[in-house]
Amino acid sequence: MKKQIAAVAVGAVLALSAGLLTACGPSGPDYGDRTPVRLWCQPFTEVETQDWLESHVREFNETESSVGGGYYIDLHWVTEDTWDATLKAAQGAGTQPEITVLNYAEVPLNSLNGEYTALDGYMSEECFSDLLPNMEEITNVNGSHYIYPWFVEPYSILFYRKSAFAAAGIGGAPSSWDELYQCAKSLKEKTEYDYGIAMPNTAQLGWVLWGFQAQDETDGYFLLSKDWSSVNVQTDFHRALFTAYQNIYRDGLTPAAAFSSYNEIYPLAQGYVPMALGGSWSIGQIKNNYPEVLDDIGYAVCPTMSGETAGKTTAALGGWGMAIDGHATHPKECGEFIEWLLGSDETHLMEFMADLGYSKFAARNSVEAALAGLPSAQNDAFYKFVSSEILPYAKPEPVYEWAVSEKYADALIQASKGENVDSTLAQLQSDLEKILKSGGQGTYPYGDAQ
Amino acid sequence: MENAKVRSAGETFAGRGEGLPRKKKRYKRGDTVAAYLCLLPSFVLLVIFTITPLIISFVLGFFDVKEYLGNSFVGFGNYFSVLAGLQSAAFYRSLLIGLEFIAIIVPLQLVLSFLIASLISKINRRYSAVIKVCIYLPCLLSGIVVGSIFAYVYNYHGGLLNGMLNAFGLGSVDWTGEKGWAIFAVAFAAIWNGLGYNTLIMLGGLYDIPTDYYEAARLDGANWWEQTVYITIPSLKNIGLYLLVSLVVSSFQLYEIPLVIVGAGAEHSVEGPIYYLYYQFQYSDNMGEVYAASLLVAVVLTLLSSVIFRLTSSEKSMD
Repeated sequence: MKKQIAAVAVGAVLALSAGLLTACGPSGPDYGDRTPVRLWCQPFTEVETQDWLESHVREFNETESSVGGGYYIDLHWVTEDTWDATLKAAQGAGTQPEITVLNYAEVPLNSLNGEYTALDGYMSEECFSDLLPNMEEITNVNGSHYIYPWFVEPYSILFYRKSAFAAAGIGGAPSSWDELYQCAKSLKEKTEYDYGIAMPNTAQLGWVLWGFQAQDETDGYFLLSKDWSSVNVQTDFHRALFTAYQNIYRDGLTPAAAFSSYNEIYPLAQGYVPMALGGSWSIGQIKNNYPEVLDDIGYAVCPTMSGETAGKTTAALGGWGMAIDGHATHPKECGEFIEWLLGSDETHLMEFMADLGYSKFAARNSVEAALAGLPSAQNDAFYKFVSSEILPYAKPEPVYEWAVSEKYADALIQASKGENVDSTLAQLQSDLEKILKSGGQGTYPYGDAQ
Repeated sequence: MENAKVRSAGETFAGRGEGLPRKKKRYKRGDTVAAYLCLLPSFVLLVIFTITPLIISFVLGFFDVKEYLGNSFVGFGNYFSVLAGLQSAAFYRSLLIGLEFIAIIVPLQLVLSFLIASLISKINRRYSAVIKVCIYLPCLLSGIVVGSIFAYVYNYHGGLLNGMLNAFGLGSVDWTGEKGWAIFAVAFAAIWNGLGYNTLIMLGGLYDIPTDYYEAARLDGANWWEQTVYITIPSLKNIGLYLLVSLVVSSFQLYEIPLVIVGAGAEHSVEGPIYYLYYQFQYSDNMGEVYAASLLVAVVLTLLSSVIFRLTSSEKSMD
């Protein structure tokens, strides 16, 4: 009897262990002995993006090119926090993804390091001729395309609660940085909110500030001169931006520590602040997660230093696309998948735009044309607003090395904590000059200087 | 007859090397083999995970390492970059932050663990068992979990600490965003995490001190302070040295807790050497610089440990 009990116990333990191990292993369809082609992507804040990509990968894996070609797309999600370390480790071990979803700013310098394979030999010419004119600058490095765009999303855009504006007696959205300060002050003083605005202020500030820097009309390339040989930060533009930030923090119009990352709009949606800056993705989050407050959400172009916004650049143009790894062993298959998903049938991307509440925008003429005939898109006020007032003037993100942007963000944080603006900018100028001299980034690294 | 037997055994011993001595020798060899076999797994792991990476890092430190373009020899270029070039400011800042962590964490950990261990050793064993379990519990948590807990404690919006301040009518403090506070916030979490382990080690040392010492001292009229200074602390010398070295090394290498609590915010004010290496590993285009920096960090750690051994003596206080 004891033996029987022991046998049952051992069997139960084994069964439980097997169950647990099975649960820990990969799930999903079994593609038999087909060759996996690894695709890595970061989970986006908007879960609809994950749903869309997963369902389309499954769909592709049932197509003739996938089944007949004897391969399937093996999708993996790698979190943003661990992305760089995981990718570097995988590259060292030779297990890196063959297709990577990445943002446009990473492409130029990395492609010069041989990190990506040019797409031109693996995708049809029509895919590239269909790209919107401003996408050439983003995707083309020295005559070859290294990333195929999925979508674009401009930032920053000003979002606010209409009810709070009404309570504070504010007639319209601020158009200059001075007005933004006054508006935040009124909201704090005249409404029940503890703060007037949520300003971006986290580790992401390095790229978030590209949205402001894009507004600079000084002849140059963001913080540098056109040929990247000198630094342009001791200017009225940057002085005004630093001062605006400093004043907002000094008067407690924004919390000393941000409620959330810049990617998330919940502080506005949940009523922590009456006004916030965010990317176009913010409206998608509100539509999908906080539909009850959608009618109370207003939006406007990001204020500029001068207050002129019509026909001006008010935002940077970010976004994500797919690239083939420089050591990919199945580049042809990778090209087939990218073309199937992003470069051919417009309905794929139209579904995506609709799922995301028209908060992300097309990078192809044919998709844009198809959306123009789609009532749900044309009746979407936010889609029309961004398409007409922001996207045509939005500037692609800077592609120089990250250290430049990071130094700028550190300097702005110092200024926001009360450091003297002029001396902070002078130190920043010196730091950036050191980077240019020591980092070998003193000249524009590809093609003709812009 | 007896003498003859003895003589015979002695002859055997001296002349042919057989009998008892031979058995003894064979026994020793077997013992040695067993010891080597026991050491083998650790040695293999040491070779795989420590010695080999160290050698590879040393070699690659002389190359401009580009994963996709191949490696090119740059001599001491990477070391120059870390020590005197573009990376130097961040590298030295990280070393300085590592030293700051040592200065805050090590003395507090040693004093607190000694005081708590002394308290536990004096109280009823039943209650001391409860206290030991309670104080050891945080040690079971990983740095990531500890960081997550304290990220909540320090949260500017509704965190425990600011909630308490607000209850007393005081304003919130940005514990992890302000340069001045961030390092103390991280150090406190690290102390909380490591206190139980250090206390138990210290307690083991206290239990090992013969009670005769104290009885003799009491007979001579020594008070608590004199007993502590002249008996307890000298008797804990070896344990103290072990804790000192391990605390210096772990404080200098503090990484997960600052990563989770502060991240890259607060102007890199909690970015110690290992955090710096991790950051460079993620973002540097030239991995050779990272290898060079990691070796330099290892050198600094070795120097620190050597200085501690030099300044303290490790002889046993008693047999």
